Amino acid sequence: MAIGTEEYDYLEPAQATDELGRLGPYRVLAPLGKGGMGQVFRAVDTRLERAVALKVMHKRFAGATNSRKRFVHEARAMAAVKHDNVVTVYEVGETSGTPFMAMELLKGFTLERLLRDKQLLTADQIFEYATQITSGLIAAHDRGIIHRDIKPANIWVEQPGGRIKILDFGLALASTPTDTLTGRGAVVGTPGYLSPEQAQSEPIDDRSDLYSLGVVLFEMCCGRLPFIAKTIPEQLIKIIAHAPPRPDDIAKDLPRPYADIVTRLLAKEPRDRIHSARALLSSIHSTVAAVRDQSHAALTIVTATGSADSSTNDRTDAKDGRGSKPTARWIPVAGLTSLALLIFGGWFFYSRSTVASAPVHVAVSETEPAVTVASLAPLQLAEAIAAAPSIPSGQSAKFQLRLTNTAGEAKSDPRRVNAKARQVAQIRTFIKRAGEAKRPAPAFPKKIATSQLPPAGQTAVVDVLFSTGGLKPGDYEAFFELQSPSGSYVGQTTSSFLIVENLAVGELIGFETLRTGQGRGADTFVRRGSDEDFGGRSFISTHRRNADSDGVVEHAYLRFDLQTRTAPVGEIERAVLLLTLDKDALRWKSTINAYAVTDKIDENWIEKGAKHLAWATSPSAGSIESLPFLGQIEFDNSGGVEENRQDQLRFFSTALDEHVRSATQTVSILLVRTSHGDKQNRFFSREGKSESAPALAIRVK
Amino acid sequence: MTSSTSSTSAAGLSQTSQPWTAADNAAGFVLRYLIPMREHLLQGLGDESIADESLKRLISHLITQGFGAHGKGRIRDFLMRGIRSAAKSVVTELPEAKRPKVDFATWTPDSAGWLAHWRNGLLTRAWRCLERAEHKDPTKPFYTVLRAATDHRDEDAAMLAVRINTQSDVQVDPKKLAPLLVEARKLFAQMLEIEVAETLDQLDAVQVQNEVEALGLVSIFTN
Repeated sequence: MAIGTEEYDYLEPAQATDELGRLGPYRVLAPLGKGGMGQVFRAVDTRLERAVALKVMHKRFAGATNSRKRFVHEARAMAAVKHDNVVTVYEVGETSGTPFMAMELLKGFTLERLLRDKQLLTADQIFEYATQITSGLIAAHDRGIIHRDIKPANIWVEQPGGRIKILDFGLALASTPTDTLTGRGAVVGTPGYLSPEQAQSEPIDDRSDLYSLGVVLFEMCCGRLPFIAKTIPEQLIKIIAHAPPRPDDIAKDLPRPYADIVTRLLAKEPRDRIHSARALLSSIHSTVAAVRDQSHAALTIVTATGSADSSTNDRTDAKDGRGSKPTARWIPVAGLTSLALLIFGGWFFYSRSTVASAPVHVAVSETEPAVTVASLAPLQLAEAIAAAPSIPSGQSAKFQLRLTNTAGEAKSDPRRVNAKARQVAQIRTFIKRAGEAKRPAPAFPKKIATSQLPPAGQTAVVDVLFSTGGLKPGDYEAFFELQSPSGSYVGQTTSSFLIVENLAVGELIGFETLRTGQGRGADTFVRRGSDEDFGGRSFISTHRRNADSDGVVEHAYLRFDLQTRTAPVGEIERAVLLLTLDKDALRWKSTINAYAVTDKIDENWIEKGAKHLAWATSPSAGSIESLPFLGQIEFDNSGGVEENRQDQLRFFSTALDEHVRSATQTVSILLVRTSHGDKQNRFFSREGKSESAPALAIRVK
Repeated sequence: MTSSTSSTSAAGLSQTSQPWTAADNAAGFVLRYLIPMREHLLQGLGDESIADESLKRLISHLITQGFGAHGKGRIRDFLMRGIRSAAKSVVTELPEAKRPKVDFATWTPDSAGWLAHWRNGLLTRAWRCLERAEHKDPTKPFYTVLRAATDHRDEDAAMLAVRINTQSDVQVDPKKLAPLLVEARKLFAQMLEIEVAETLDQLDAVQVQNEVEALGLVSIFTN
């Protein structure tokens, strides 16, 4: 294949007929695409005979020495982002003044193509993609890299499998604060996906990527961008100054909690958005779980008389002319559903599979009748039962309410009276702490569809969830107010709950932290069948490979020196064990048991040297079950999300408190993995990173 | 007040403190002032679509022409003239029946309305800058404390600390609130000073001082 066009004149001559040319060790075979910063080729690394995607910096940018150096420098930083949801960069280099980047060659297609082909996506799929994109962003943001051009064309859907890969950090490279490529005042990015701060050429941070992700999610949900404009100036004005529509105003059946996430991401001010990719991931996880819970709750119908079952429900519906099978009455509905399917891309399928009453949702016309308070009078809300008597601060509070339809005759039955209304009522939750004013609970109103109301004489169980984030420990009263859709009071029931301190999240205020590197502290691990000393390693390990008796088993031992405490001595109230996962850790769910190491070990065990702690000389060789059990640590490091996060893993229990309280000079703890996996759980040791070494946080009374 | 260049380095900001006339891309640069311009257009024209059409026209002009020969003095004067001219042309093209009654003679660079929109625009940008700094380094919650103190001027340090500790992710020791506030005010003033400096065509301390006075922002630098 001939070369020599100006377009490829940075390539060296071809050495075979199937090549466009050569670039260093790469055989350049064919162009794959063009970006703002350069061109991408299919190529082969001759050293490894590996197919790669080779991105070559555009001549226009490569001309400036500073730009070239920065490209290589930043690309190398980016290459350090190793994550399943970020395209892998194999090599970054420069040949004859031309910077290049060799990346993994992927099979599949971009999300842009998926959307362009109008492929149907369910809410589950959309938020699965969102989870993966967010995970990739966490990896980049943790390294201080902002993508700056998140859009469907830069999101790859790998085939087979559907794994997401974020592509093209071209702008991440181009637009550092000291950028000289784009010029002061230049707007950089793709217009439809620009954040307001990008549109105003302001300095940006990681939250800009979250806005762009919000646009991508909006597009996946609604089949269009939040702002539609004919010209770029008009687009920029809208991005900066216009309020975006809510996605559930367009995709009517999009569950509201999903719409709320997208809406928060599209906030104009970065401070009003979800504040980090990590927080977004957590929000997506809890929302997906809550939506599923609510869908299930909507199906739970019980009766006051104890006679109802699904057949009873069907009969009641049939009496209303709303049997479970489609009837003539619903034929136009089917037409509307098809229309909704075309316009909103797939919500029907999602709704049908998870919400019992989905066709009713889709069928509602724009002229929905108003629901009056009087029509809801037969509804009685009673008996709010808390799922747990005490809730650790920050966790979801869950209550089960009983909603009874006391209508004695058909003409007063709220189901019949409001049969044409989509939403017939809502439950709003308020909370009150002793001595404080009553205030709305951090939750959206629980909307109740007509079809979710219990038939006359029956009772439905309704689950209500709200967040307890930010609530101080103490006794609270919860007020569940049944309201009309417009917010008018119908009735209420109350319950009480206790918020207890949650040591799993937030700052450990008032705690003193002792690390294994202090005083007589120590950390090591022992391996079954080995007397090697692992005490000098940069990590400690817990491992259990295979269930077989000959699989590798490693236990970790930690010792903390209580004599190094500087805080006033007092009775220890709480203790928390803190661990930091190293980067080569098992990327999966793990369960680790913690045991108190007491009289079965020399208190002065040493990490390395002649009398180091080894399997045979440790309690691991005997019966671990006889050691006092402190509790279990469970965590999920899928995608490496927990790695390198200082003191991220926390373990606390009353047994640990007791163990620490009973110690005089040192406290030793044994960690034993009970879950299986092919890799070690690696935690930083005192030799690996002193500030992330295992720690014991202690609070005295 | 320090000179704007020294403030920049003191604040350690990524922003450059260059005069607006040095911007490489006129249209891109003025987008940072889109909100105050739009607020003024909305107030004067009473119609969102006409306001946005006027802005589109101004931006399109800047894309093709840059700042041109008028690119000197204060950018707020330049932009006032720009939006007035764009709005006039848009309104003139409207059918008589749809034309809003607008007294363009009152659209002057020093009109109280324009100054108020402009001042709010600069303050918003300074607040955003302060918040961005806190996001970057959450151990220095300057935005949170200053925002709380500004929004609740009647509350003492203890009350403010309780408010901050319960309503935000930030935990503040009441005893440390006062020095934090002092530092936050200082940083905010520096950021605002940079914002003001960038609207002038010369980075001159006296000019910045004059503009701060003209905008009624002196109290921010003296408190």
